[in-house]
Amino acid sequence: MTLSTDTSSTERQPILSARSLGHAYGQRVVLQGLDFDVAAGEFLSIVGPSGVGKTTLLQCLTGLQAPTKGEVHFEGRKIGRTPPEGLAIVFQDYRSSLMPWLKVVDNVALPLKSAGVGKRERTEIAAKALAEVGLAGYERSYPWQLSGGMQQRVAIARALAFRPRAIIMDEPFASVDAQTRADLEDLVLRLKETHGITILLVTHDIDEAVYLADRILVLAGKPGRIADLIEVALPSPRDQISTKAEPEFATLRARAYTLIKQGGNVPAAARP
Amino acid sequence: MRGMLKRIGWELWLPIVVIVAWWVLSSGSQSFYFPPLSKIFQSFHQDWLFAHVPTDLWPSLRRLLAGFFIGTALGIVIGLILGVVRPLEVAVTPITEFFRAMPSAAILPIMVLLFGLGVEMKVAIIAFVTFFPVLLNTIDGVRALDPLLGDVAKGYRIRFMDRMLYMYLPAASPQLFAGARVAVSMSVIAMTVSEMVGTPGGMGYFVLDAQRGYAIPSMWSGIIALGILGYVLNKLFLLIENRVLSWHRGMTALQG
Amino acid sequence: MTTAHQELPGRTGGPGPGSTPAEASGDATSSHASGGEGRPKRLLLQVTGIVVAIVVWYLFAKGRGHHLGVPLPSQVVHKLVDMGQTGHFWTSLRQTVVSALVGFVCSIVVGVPLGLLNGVNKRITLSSQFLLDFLRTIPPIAIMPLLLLVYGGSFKMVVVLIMFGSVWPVLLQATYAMQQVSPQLKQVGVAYHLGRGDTFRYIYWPSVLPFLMTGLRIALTLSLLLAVVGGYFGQAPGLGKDLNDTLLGGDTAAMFVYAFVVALLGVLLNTAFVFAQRRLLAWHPSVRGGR
Repeated sequence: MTLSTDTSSTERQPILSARSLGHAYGQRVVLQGLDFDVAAGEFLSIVGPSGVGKTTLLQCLTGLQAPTKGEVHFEGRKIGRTPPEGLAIVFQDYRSSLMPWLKVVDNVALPLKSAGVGKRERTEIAAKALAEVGLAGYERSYPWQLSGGMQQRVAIARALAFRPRAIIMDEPFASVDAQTRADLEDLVLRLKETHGITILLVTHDIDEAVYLADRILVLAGKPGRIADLIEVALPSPRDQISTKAEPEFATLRARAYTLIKQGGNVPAAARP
Repeated sequence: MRGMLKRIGWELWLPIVVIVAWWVLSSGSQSFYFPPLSKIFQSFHQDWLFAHVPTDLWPSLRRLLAGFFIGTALGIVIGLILGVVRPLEVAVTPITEFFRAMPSAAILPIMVLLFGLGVEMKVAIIAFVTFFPVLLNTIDGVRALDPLLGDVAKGYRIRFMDRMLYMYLPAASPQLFAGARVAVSMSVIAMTVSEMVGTPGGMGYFVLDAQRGYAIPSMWSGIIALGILGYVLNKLFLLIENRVLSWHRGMTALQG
Repeated sequence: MTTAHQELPGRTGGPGPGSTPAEASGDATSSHASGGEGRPKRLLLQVTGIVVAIVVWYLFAKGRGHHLGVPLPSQVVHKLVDMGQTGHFWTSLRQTVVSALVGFVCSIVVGVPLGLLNGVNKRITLSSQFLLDFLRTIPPIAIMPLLLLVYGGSFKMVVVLIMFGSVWPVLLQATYAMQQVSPQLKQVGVAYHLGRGDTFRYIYWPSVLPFLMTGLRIALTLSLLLAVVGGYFGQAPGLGKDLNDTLLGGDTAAMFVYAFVVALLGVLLNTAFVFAQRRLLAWHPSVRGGR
């Protein structure tokens, strides 16, 4: 399950690890006892029913909020109250996360500007990132001139341009239509292969979670706990048609769904 | 093209009719206070094209712009700070509400007390009057910033200055400009008031002086000139606003 | 486009962005935990603010302000008490308020019907646009010399001055309001064959009212301002005239008292208006608290 003690040459220290992570708002405990590691270069999907605390977990993992219990370590260092360097975040609400007064290229380049990158260089980096997400030619448009799917691509380009070691995405495709979602999913997979970035993607869509991930973290129960960490042994590269036709796909999906439905109370299930 | 001409036609016919009617109705006027429009035009030509421009119009304009920019700059900077630091804004609210309600006429004697009767007083009172609408609207604008952008700033480690310049300021700018628009009219009033009280010079003084000297057509020409000044300034401001806020117009147009 | 709505140089009055638990890190400078907006804390902060302001005033009056003649806070309070005991003060106050209200009402009587008419038809609106645009940017103070000549320093002069200044916001807001009446509602009127009178009473008027109120509020503030200005320059009896007298007489403490009184008056009138507005518009979403 966890690979943290494996010292083979391809596995290093986990890039992200949570220890006894929990969070409560006042008296209300939302998350409890979360222990897991994320290996570098891995794609981890976090899936669970609405309200289970996925967003809270994300906020704790990214450093946007300090957990009330436990710790999160990124690249070996504990995350405090601010997001660590080397981590980029893609938010669900792309409309609100992009700045409407900046052109697309300026939106993508802003974090670089703040990091002190010179104008010529950051424009180049931004343009490249936009090209990679398929938005070449849209640099000088405003975000609100683009469709929802394109806006989310801008957000992804922004994360990419930031040259992170890990990208954390909060239900990034929840607000786009199915066809666009499929395209964006494949885009994210491609980016991961090309750049070897670790990706954590939170979603409520089980199909999406299975399709994209190397492992699935199922959150369920009240308060939210890890119901299971499922290995996804589907062939790579993934494909919207053939992968989803694999029998293993259905099995994994069923397993995840069952866990969620039962609120995480699956009696000593066989863990891979 | 035809549509545009039609539109212009509709916009212009009434003003033209009014001016013509005024001209005709007043042409034989014997009234001392309401001279014929022809005489007023004559006066206008004499006074403002271009005799009194360097002596009255230009100094007025200079003071107006100076006071306006000072007031706006202060309003924006302090508004940004107060918008971001909530407790400070709460603490300062009773004071700002109080001063906002103080009309330029009421603050005038105090300004004279502090600054005398000269140019400092005039600029100060214009700045005072400009400051409050801009300040209050900037604060509102900053508070209207989408909270998600706060997370974005944190997540992408955006520096304080960049946050101010590229997030808070642009987000507040639609509201800010609305406040500044009000400030433009209020500063014209403040400018006139200050000139009627302070040292000689300026358009307000011109009108008052004409009245005292019973140069009635000149008085009228001064009033019209002030009207034109205010009108032109407002239009110019709208032009600037449209340019700077073009992103906002585009966005709201698309969102209906 | 809501430019007229935003013309109000004041608070929008809406609640700030709420912070749900999931977004407790909303503020870029998360300097303190959310939930600290309790009433007592607010009060404490505001009282502290006022105290600090008074202290700064005191220090200034003692220091650099001294040779300018800036009075101490205590002197102003004293003066206020003294003045409050004279009949003259209250008479002036009454005169100013009365002239402001009379002018205000007159501008409503003229401005509302004209404004509504102006907004009925696009052609009408276009025709009047230039004239209105021009006339409303003439600072009322500029026509004061003319009014002084025609009416002298009288009550009438002040009222006319107020009307000249206040009629524009009323008129323009009324026009704007007419333009904002929902087309669907208008169609309802047509669909149910409502007569002219009923259409106005049940469809137009309620829609127009909230927008009108914004204009009226601006006009009220303006009316008070012009009442003071009219007295100041025109010597019509009232707070304005008294203010002018203090300048001539050099009574600095009284200057401050008058300035504060006028500001206070403005705040009071505004509050009273908002109160009345709430009662009148209880059905409107913005007052109901619905969103």
